[in-house]
Amino acid sequence: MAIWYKETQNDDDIILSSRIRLARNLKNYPFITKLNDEGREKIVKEIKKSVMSSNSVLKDMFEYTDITKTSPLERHLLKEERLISEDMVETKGNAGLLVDKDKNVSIMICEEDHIRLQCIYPGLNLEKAYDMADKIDNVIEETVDYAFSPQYGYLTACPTNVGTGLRASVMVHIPAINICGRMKGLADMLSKLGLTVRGLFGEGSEADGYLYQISNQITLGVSENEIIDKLKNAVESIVTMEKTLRQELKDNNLVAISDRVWRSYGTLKYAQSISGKEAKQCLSDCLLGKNMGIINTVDNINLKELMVLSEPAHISKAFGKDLKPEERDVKRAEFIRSII
Amino acid sequence: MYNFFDDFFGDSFINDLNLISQILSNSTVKPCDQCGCTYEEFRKTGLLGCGNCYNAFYSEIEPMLKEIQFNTRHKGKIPMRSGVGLRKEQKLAKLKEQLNEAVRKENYEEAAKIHKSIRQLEDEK
Repeated sequence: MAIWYKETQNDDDIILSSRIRLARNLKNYPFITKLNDEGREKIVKEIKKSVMSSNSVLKDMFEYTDITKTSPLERHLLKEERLISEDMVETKGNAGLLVDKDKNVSIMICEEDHIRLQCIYPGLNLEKAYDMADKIDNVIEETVDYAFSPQYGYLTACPTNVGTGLRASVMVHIPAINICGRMKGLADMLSKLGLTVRGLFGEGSEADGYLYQISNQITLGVSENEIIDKLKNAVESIVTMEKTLRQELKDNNLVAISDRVWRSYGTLKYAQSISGKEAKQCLSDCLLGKNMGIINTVDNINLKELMVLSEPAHISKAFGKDLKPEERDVKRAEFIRSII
Repeated sequence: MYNFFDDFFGDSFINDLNLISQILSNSTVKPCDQCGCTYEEFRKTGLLGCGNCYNAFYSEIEPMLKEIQFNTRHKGKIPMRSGVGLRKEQKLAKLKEQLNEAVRKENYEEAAKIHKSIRQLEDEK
């Protein structure tokens, strides 16, 4: 399956991707905060070997990257594709990364936990993503002893992950819920269900372009299937809510919403300098307009991909050098104009 | 980095602030004898030093888990290779639950079947 933002089969702009993350630690080593560089190196080797030298077909799927040898730009590129976390961008010690060829699966070694295994698929595909993560987890466990307690389950550095070690999340694009002022109500409803809503890059990140991650808060005392079912049901309700509100906007505020969409299109088409935040906002408006049948001039453009390609590291890469923020805004505008 | 103490303080589901501040101000807790992590370090970073810290800080972590996870007993996946015995226990517990349910519904035919499965599983080496 294609990487989440390149998927064009699924025309739905509300559910962008489904992600499963498993946190695991090795039994005979301290957790990351108490681990020296030698210990980190041993863990990286052990986990790399457990995947790359396994008897499973999985071994041919992965490519290994030594994170310590990557440049800050390369790390930011990986983050913008959601293959590594902000913590891993900043890491100073030994750390490794295994990514499959389709960029659906990534295994971060020596992040907050020894292993952060994640699987991302386009659309609402939580079960499929979990099946894949589960398979890889079993392959790793063939040669590695996990820190596991009968009472607490998989032991993690932070007790918010203990138990299943599973964080399931769905990235949603919900402009109508925002525009209609329903975000707080939604967050309250999710909180009652043991779910949470966060920005695109997880904890503490902003929700630019009306992109949010809905994920489970509770990891202990519930099974993996229960976590996934609950999240899936909640996401389906959010989709219904977003669609209903879009229809209401169309019925009652068509001029205002059309004006907003076309102004955003104008900005993308003619701006000479644009920040990442504004670009994402305008792209989100166009994505909304496209799916509401308000705008047809962006029909052949993958706006989701454009959101990622407009991120700072991707712009710097496209223009072949590290750019200052103001230079980057000019290049971003130039890049977007060349496509829109 | 995410600090779950922020959540611990910030979330609306915390009912007993007195209990929490009492737990957090507990400076008499012994450090973990395997990794040396102190409770103070855990408080500051939100991160434990090793798997044994869950035992070392048991009296502090148990009430925390009740608050943040609403539960203190794992119900999910068990490691494939190292968890064979545990998986059997989990399967038995599930069957016994089903047996009670069948008896409660007076479905004795189903109960007999489940009972047989339990005996078979218990006899497995």
